[in-house]
Amino acid sequence: MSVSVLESKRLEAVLKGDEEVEVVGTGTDAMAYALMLADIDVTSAYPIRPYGGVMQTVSKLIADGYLKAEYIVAAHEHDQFEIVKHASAVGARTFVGSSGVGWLLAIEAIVVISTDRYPVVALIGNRALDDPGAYGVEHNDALMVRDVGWLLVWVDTAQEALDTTLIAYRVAEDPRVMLPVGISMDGAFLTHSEHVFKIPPKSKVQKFLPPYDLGNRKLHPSNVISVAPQVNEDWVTEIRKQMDEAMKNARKVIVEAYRDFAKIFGRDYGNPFVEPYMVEDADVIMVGMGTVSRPIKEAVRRLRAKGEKVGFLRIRWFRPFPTEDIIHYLSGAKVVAVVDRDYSFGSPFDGGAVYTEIRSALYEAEHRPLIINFIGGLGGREITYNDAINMFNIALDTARKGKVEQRVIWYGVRE
Amino acid sequence: MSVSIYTLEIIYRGIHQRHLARNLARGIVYAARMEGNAALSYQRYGDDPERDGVPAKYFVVIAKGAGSSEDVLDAEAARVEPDFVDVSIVLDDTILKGVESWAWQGIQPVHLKLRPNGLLIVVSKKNPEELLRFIPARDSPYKLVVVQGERSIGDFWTFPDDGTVERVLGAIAKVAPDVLSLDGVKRFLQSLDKPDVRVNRAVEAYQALVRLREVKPGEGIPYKYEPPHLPGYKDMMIGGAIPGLKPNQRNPLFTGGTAKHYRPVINFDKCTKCTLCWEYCPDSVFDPTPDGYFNPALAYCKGCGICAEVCPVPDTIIMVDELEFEDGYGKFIDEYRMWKENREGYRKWFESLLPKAQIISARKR
Ligand code: SF4
Ligand code: SF4
Repeated sequence: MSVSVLESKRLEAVLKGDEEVEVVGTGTDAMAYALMLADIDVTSAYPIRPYGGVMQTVSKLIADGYLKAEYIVAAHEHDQFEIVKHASAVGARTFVGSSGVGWLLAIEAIVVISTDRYPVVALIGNRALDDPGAYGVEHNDALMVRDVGWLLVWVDTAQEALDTTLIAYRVAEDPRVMLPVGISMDGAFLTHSEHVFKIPPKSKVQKFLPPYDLGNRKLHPSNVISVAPQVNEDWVTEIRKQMDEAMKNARKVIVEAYRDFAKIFGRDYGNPFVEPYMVEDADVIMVGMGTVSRPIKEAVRRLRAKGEKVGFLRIRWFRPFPTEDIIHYLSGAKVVAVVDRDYSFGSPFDGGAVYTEIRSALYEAEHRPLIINFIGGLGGREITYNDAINMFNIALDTARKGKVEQRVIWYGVRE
Repeated sequence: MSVSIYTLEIIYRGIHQRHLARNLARGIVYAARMEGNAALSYQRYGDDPERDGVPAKYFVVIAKGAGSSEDVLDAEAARVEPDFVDVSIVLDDTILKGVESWAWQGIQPVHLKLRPNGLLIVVSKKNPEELLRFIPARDSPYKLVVVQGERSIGDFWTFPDDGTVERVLGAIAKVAPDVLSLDGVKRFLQSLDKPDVRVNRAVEAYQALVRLREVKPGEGIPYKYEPPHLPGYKDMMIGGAIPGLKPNQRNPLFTGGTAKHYRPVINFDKCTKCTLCWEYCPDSVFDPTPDGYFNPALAYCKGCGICAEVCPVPDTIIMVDELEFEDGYGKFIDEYRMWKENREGYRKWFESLLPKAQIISARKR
């Protein structure tokens, strides 16, 4: 079975025409269409859910002739990531991905992709780490690589998944960056739910995304170089420092990419790093990543209707971390409530990873708000707007009392 | 009581002498501690002594007069290598022809780290005068000490308990009593198995097997070591990639040729141009010549002997001890050219080497 008859006419239109078209699909479908538009050369697949949906759609796009790319089925995730690393080294634009423990099986290859500086783009279909078995979302899989030179971004809609994929290639392949990007998509809530989104025409994508050019690092018989040498203590500090510079450069390059994206496609994401929602005058600001934004926004609207000054800040880019924006948007609040769909056992205040990073960023703020942390939604458990209202109420109570009674709350845990 | 720090270095051949070097380093530490000093030892980690023949290093630091206080060693602990050594011990005399520790570090003189007036102790059957023909000259004086003895060659798993450790300990006690006394050496050896045999070996070396020669600045072969230029992160290619070699080009920064204690010598008169040596050499050392022979680029030869093993023609490739050849430090003889220029001279030379060969092609040994 090919791409559904429903979509085929629309895909013809974006590939040949100049207009965008509207389709219905999952977050992983949206990403697959972005890969078609970005004209990837090589991808490597190994099944695991929830990431697997993207490979199903990509394979159909290739089978139907909408995308010309090598589709290599790997023996396991480690091979998968090694395959794209090598393809990227010879000048192929690549895509790869996995979920949960599958992503971790590939960890050695994942690390060398960033340390060898190949701009691979990957989907991390966020999934709880085994054990116990669970297909649902947690963010710890992606967060495992937060320190090793991968850019990490979380999206919360199919549209953003598509757009961010195009932006990811542009940022990753920028000569000032040359680092891989991991795009996190919440398992089930985004990977497996169908929404309306727009596919832009390829003609515009070509204006936005220049061809992948590794320059003098391209492995080719006419450009004989040696990569990944054994260098030990003599060179390692310098090579890590290059990565540090690249990651810092990425902040600037991300801003440029979103600016050009808005110009060319007419979709303006505002601040690329964070999405502020009714935060201007808010006493209590909730912070989260991924699809938890949807119910939290609903809670914000309901509480605002009752006159509560609450707002929400969604973090898109976790690496590079948007320190300045975090300080800018949060330091004026009385209480910041961070919702972590992850955990960092034994971390400074036994909270989640996002909470810990935000605490660290706010250390530099002139005004430091009170901070509380909700660990919730683990293993794919729902966080409904009612849950978000409950959390806001705890935060509002904290604001009234002017002190934190419990730093970290395992929201909804059964005792 | 004031504390003095002494640093010793042991240079040995990877695999063949790793047990020997470790046992010697530990022995020095034990002996020093039995004399009431603090001491530690460490390997130069990056040397990769699991590689066949690679010149590798062990270091020992002794704090004399420190008693049981370990703090005095803090400054010398957790290091890659010391800045200077007071004593350098070379367990294989062919290592005098240079040490290549890292690709871009080049070929280092064996006494690179030795302090002025330091001791260079070599286990060898040659005398100091003969050994000086292989050691680069330097700006400061030093003392060349020979401990008479066979080269002690083991393998990955085994340690030939042939008395080398004891003899070197005895020699240290003889020429550097400040560092280690004969009494300390004896006490250590008495704590081991076969104590009498071991003590006798050390005492024998102490009394009769050590030759010392003062070496003046400028004595030795000419060689100027250039320390490497290590690039800054802005100068490096992204990710530490490095320009590769063009076809038929060899790496000028890393030859690896100091890994050998013997080398192939080719009898071109008998060679049938069968190509096997060229094909089997794991380091692609053989350059094809215009008339179909295969000439070893000796600077790159690791001395593994495979070429001599595979050559099907009797007495055509022989493996001969490095100290038969007064070249090295990057400048090696060109066997094929020698043969082309003077076939008769080359034949005589080859025949003079044949009885000394350790491996001889297509001959039962
Ligand atoms: S001994 Fe022979 S085979 Fe071994 S590295 Fe040298 S030339 Fe090559
Ligand atoms: S293996 Fe022996 S006979 Fe064959 S080419 Fe080499 S030297 Fe000549």
